[in-house]
Amino acid sequence: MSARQKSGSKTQQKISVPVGFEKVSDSHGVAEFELSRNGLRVLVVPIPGSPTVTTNIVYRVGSQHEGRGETGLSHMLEHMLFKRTKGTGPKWKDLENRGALMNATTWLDRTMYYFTLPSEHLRDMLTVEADRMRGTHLTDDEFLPERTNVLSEYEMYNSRPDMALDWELVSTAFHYHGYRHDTIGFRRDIESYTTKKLKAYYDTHYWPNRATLVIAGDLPTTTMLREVKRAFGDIPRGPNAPLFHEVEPPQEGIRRVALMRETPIREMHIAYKAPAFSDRSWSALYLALTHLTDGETSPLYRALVEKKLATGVAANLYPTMDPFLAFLTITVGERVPYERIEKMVVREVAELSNHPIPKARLDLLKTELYAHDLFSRDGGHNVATQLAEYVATGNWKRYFDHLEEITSISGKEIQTAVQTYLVPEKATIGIIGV
Amino acid sequence: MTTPYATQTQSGAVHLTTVEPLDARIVKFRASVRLPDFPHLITPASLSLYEALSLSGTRTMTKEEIDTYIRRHGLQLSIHAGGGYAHFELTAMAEQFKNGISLIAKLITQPKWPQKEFTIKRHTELEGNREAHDDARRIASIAWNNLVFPAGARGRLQTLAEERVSLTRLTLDDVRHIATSLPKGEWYVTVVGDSEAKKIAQSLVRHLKATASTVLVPSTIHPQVSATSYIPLPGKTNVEVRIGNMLPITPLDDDFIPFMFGLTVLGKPGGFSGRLMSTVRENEGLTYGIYATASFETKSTGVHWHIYTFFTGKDLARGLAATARELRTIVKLGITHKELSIFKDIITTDRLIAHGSNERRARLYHALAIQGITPNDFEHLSERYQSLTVHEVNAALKRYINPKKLVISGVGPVTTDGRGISG
Repeated sequence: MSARQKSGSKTQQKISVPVGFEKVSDSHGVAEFELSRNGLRVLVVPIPGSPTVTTNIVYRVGSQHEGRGETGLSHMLEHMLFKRTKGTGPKWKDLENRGALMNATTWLDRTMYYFTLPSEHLRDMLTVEADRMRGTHLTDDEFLPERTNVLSEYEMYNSRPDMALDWELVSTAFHYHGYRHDTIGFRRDIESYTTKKLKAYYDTHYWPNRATLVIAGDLPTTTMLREVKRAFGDIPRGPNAPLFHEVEPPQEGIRRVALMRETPIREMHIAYKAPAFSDRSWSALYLALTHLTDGETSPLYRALVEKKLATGVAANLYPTMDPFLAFLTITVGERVPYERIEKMVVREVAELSNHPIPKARLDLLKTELYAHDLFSRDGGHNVATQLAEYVATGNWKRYFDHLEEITSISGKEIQTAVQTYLVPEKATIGIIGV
Repeated sequence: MTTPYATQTQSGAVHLTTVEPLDARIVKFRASVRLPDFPHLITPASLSLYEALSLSGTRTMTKEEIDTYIRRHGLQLSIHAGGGYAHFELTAMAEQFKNGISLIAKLITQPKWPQKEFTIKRHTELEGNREAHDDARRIASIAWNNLVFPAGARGRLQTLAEERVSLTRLTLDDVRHIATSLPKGEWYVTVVGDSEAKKIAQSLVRHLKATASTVLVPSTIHPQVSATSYIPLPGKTNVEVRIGNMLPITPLDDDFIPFMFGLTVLGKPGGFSGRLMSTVRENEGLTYGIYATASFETKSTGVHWHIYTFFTGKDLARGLAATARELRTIVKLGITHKELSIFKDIITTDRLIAHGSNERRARLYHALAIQGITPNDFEHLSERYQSLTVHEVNAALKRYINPKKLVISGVGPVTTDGRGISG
């Protein structure tokens, strides 16, 4: 497997930990610290030669933590963190006016905010994040127009049949767990938000002890930590209120949903209950799905596209804190019955269930996945945003461990994962039209 | 020509740009060819089939063997084609780069595709064409383009109906013609990697140089027009909108940089820094995103600019009115000194961020190279941006944007005479 190369292998230099911090752990050159006073976790990622520094603060709250009537609140709050704040220092707009590459995103398990700027702006970047962590104004005059923008965003996604189908699919697959609704929330909930509700959510979740700050760049660790303490040191630890969390009961049978829209698009989305990212079988399932759909030599491509039953096949499996879904997406040909597609998928999955992937093929898949993952870790901005996703799964070190795990998965493990998770009788199947 | 990051050399009709890597373990490589005979003997439809077939075989390798080769060496290889170009993009670990180049050389010089593959790929493209009738953004883009570009012009896009006819009539020989044209085109090669990677890229350049020849892009500047096109598309909530026009200048013109600066102030893509975002979105809540951009094929060709956004059917009239108002305002009053200062900073930072990874460096320098802009030119452009005055920018905006002479396209819940339909 000559394409493999250990990433991030650096000799650990002895770092004198600044006062006020404890070193928690390290892995592959990345060190984790905690600001003792308030529990803020900091990951320091050296990127030698980088002309820029990236800060990415991950709040451990996402759409799965939203209860009934408050779906989409994490995302709404994300929008509100770009409004007025109480602090007297620089604001996010000042950083944007310096050309910052910046954005924020909300997803199932987390909300994150990032900036990338030349390294000399680190102090101001951290000042902005600290200010809006506890200093965001949540008033009607700011909130009401922004809710309109969020509704506009809702409509933008909803107008896409494939996205609308996924919303239906996921909320059919999950009955209890917070993963059941899309991050943007249900329209009715968005329309019913109040400033009071937002403030209560903000005051529950936006605290240092509920966040991890990733800093990636070419600056001394002591400098980075000193600036973190300067910015966040006066913010107290927040309450340890439990996160809203439901456990999804086992799915006992196949579930189906159809999206009736006036559209020429014909797609079938099949969702299977999948393991959490922390589970080794996640990697096994990932390899199984890659084998089934990746490239024109894959079984599903051959079974469907080469036979002109479909024009595209793809699979997705996301690293999540709790068990989520594995998706197969098939773009179905005109006038091809959906039942026929379903039968072909069942057949190919059964083939994999009964016969392991040949070792030569498996080795090729592993080499490819390993290389592609390394390629994506290109530059501080990419590393910081990717690492933040792994923070959200509950174990940032999986950013490195996962690569090695993939290469160690056996054919037998893959078969077991297929037999456990890709069970046709427990799938949720969505189609557009009839 | 050498700058701190990049060097460009020319060997006949092959332009090689070598760029310093941020991470020398990974090589980023791009090779683009400007094809002769576009858009006449080589059509958009044949290019889309070329793209689909490009990894389907060579004289010595089957599709399966190519697939295995790519995976075994951990390569990331994609081939795209359109607008008169074919683009090869390769990412490889440094020690595998040579294997990637070897494969690309075969794909360029020895493609061989079975009829069966052609049949499958054409079927896929035809299905894609059918589904594209749901893609309001694409339809709006085509409609707008074909109002500003006259028939037969390089920049003109095929309508979905034209594309369907074209695909239906296409034969494998038409696509093979592209394959035989590739070596005879004008090549732009960019490599971000260490000295060894650069040597390997140079070996490909020597190979290409033997057959490559200059392909001239007509320097036509198309006239400004005034036109609208509204296409109803049922089942949509939003009307996808394009507003803009041609400019009577090329990037070589003195007014180009001042105009581009002004356009950036109006609608810098991404984020909230552009005026359109802070007014039409933030102040008035009329859309989720509204930006402005300009395009040109090479530094010797005409430039066109447009605003792109969407409005709900209910808000279409107000959205268009707000956008028109911002256009009038920036033409009449221009940009402010504060905006000049802010956007100079933004441009400086953008340039630094564009060097923040191997991928960003490859993307930047390769795009510039195809447009005929050398690394030295880029340095001078950057200096020119920093030397601009408010007066220069405002004069260019006034000179080239006529708010009463615009090309507008809208697709979605809208009537053919431009009235938004509420959901």
